Amino acid sequence: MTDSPRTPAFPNYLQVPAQGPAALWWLLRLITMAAVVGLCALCVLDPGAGLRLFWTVVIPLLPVLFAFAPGLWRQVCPLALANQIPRTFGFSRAIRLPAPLKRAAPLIAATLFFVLVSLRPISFSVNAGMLLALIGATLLLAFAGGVVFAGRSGWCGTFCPLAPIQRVYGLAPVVKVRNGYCESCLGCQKNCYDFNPRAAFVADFQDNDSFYVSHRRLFTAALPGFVLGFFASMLVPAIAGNLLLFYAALAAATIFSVGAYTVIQTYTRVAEVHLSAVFGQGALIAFYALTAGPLVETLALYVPGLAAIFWLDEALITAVVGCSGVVLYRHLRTHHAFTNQADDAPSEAPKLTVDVGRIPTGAQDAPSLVEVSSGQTMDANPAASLLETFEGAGIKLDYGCRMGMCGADPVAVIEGDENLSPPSEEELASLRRLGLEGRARLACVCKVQAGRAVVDLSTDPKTLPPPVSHDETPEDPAPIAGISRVVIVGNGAAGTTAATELRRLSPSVEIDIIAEEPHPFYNRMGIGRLIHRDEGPQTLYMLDSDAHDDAQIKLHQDTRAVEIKAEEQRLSLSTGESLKYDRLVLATGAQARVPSVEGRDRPGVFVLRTLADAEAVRAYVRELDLADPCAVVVGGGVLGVEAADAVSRLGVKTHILQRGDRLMQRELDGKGANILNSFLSQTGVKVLTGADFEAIEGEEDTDASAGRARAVVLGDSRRVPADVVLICAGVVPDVALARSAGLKIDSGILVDGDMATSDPSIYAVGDAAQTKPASPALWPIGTQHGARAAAAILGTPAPTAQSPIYVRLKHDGVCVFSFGSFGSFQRQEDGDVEIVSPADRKMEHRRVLLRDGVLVAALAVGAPGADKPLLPYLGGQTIPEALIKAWQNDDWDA
Amino acid sequence: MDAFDYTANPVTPNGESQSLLGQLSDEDWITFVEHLEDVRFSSGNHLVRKGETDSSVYILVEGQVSIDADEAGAIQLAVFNPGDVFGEIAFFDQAPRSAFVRALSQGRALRLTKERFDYLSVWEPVIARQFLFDLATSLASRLRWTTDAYLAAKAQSRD
Repeated sequence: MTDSPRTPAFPNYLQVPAQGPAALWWLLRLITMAAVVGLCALCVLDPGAGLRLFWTVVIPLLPVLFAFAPGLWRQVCPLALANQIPRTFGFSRAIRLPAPLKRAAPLIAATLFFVLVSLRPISFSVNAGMLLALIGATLLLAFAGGVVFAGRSGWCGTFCPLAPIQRVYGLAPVVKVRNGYCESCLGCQKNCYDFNPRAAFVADFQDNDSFYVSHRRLFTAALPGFVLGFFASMLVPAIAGNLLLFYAALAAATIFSVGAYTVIQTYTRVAEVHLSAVFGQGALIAFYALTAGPLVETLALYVPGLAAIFWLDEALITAVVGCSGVVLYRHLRTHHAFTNQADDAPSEAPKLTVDVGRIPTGAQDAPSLVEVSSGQTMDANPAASLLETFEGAGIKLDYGCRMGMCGADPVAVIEGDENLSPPSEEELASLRRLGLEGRARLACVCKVQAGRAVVDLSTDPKTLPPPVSHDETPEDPAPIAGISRVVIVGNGAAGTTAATELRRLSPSVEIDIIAEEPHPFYNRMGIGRLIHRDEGPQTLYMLDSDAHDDAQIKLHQDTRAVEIKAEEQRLSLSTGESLKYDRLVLATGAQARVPSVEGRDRPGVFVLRTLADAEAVRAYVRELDLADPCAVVVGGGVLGVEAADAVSRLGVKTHILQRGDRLMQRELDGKGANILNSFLSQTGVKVLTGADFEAIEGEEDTDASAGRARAVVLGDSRRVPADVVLICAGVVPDVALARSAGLKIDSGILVDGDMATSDPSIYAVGDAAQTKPASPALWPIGTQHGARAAAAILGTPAPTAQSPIYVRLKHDGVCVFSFGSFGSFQRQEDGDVEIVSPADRKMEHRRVLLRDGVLVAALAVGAPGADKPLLPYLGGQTIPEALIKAWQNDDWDA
Repeated sequence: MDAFDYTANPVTPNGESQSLLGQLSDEDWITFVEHLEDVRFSSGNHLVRKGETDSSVYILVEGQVSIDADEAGAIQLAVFNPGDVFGEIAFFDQAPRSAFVRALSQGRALRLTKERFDYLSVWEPVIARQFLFDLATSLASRLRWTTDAYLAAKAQSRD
């Protein structure tokens, strides 16, 4: 590293303060651009005067400016302005300059310079139209370079024919003017002159790429001869008048110059970098020695009285010689500092770098998402949800279903609400359930479509003021239906939805929720996180008691419903209280199924159904404090896989026991399950299939209690070490309360299409209810039940919104997605189209079944995002023919 | 040598820089970047804090960052520019971070966490292996360099 990093010898533009307000620079840029336009107008109106002004006043003034304060020119240059407009207004494609082009760019610029200048006598110098064309074409090229290439790599530092000259004349600027265009450095070009004007020239000659050095050298070697040859020939009428002679003289002078450079370099031991500096300044002096006369003459035309000052041209030449002297002196000091720094500092340790040109850049006009609490600004792909954008930026956010149905990830929108995708029916329903309609959006389904949106993850949307409603309040249906009080048993997704829907439909109905757990409504799908993350249960709460108070819903927490007295329409509670109801909704849910095996009462054996279960697992593992803890998860369904992942993240060696031949057998086929299996085994979870679970062995029992679990014994008497056993072997509906009321029960509480049970004043919803045909125990089914029961109780039309039913593993390292019934693949109808990704794709599997162009069932297993192509078609949308063709050709990115 | 090496460290005779995933195809680079976290930062943000146990590797894409021994940035150890890779030592040894990384300008970096590396190894084993190999090669050449510097210093102290 450098010796004194606080004050670098070569501060780059980012390390020096801006000079003057940006607005002033923009004004100056506009003024120079206006001057160019004025000059063009003059060329049209009076071609002679225009040409004279351009070639004998404007152009001759530039070189000394390049030598003295090149940065000033680069800040106001009209070509730079044209080049930087696309970037400033955000419509540049910002492509990285390809490496070969980057390498050759200075050569292209130098060639352009020599060719354009030598064409002057037959075109630009004598024909105003040609000059106009030249100015127009370069402005256009500079602009095009800015549209296509990133930073200043499309013109200023690369192809601009004036750039090599600026670098050579201004190799050690007397006055430094800071680059004001690049807000942040993109690293778009090599040895960037705008990044560090003092170091660029010296660094050019120290480059490891000999091709790069050699064409820099050639340019400086040729320059003085070219300048001398050109202007001296112009002064000799015999040569200027004969084109052939002119070009011969120009070529001879240039070749002589290169030859002289080579000879000097060969016979003296002057460092090349110094020789080049001297040649450059020599060209500058030669230029003024030959053009000062005409410059003063022309100036005298505009400024009367100037002609009287006979020594003006000599004075100008002397000034230029002085300036060159200062520049050369500064160059020597720069070079000294540059080499000294290198000598003094210990040589640099080898570095690891990436060619930034290989890294895909975000689109320039991509919508952006700003997250206030982390201060991050992200490019938002219009096809990606806020949640995906957060995850891409490493911002963690708790999520649930990722389909807007559970409402686990509401975010407060601070700004740009109009730039977000409009909420779907499901999202609105979830927000309504949470009392957040109009106050928040769900990150997992909401997208930034254009422009900019600002959200704040540290703001609890519940604290935002509710939106003012302009809707007319419809008539309260409760008095008409003769309902004044509804009691709901259970505060899961189904019970809570029933309550919030009742409240939405009727402001008057009294609502009581009986909740057995000591928690408000929480995200049951997220309890796995409580096992491995060091956070409290509050992070899973989706409604707090304030929200219930606001909605005038009475929540009886930590209270058990003991008995239903159906004839009296009364429910007695564990508190001794008894509630009279007009309608009762049973949302008692389900309990974990525990196989009756020996040892299931041992400490260390858990089920994973409630928040308390998850907390108990974490506390147990922590308390055991073993060096090498092991766990066995019994059951290879979704819950089992998620539980195994959660436990293994605690550093516990984990096995999954699956009775069947594959994981998630209800959702996945063999290949899908194999991929999941392979992913798990590589990330620390081992899977044993075909494993019958016989008993749980443990330490020796004491008088007080059974000994803690140590191993699980399989049917073939294999033993799998297990300090923790998590039983995830499915659920059984909790029907104990319903039984007490004498309701009709099969495996669950039997209900009709309105969710009514055999007692017309009692309804059952969610996992406890058994519909016809039977529906799986899933969150969106529970919320549908809740909404349907609420509408039936109040006699309002049944809700029609149907959420798509699918299963997705909640894991950010693998995508396991299953939509529709897996059985559909086995029971195909005529005309069904099945598409399966080829077998040689070892770690990616997609399988879809289409009926009349609509998705009936689908599987996607693979890297995160494997389900992406399917998601837009879960709601029964017709899939375009072309897309089906693409899928059949295994092109899933189409 | 590209872009800005000449500014912070003008001439580095022994400091040949090693390329990370230089031989990857453009298509694979896109895949690789998809597995990384895209971090945007503003001037003054801390990307890494001393003592943290996060073990991510960073690739600086845009902007400049300063490696500081203290939070305020009074003791600057190095400056990193676009293309530079940092954080790889903690990626291997998982030890607490030894310095602060502070943004000197607004910019963008790609971050590969340990967890994401595990996932990358499953889905893109070839890229992951190459990544690991390049990282290890870089550490090896730095160890060589350190050994040389140590031997040189030892020889000097004997004179």
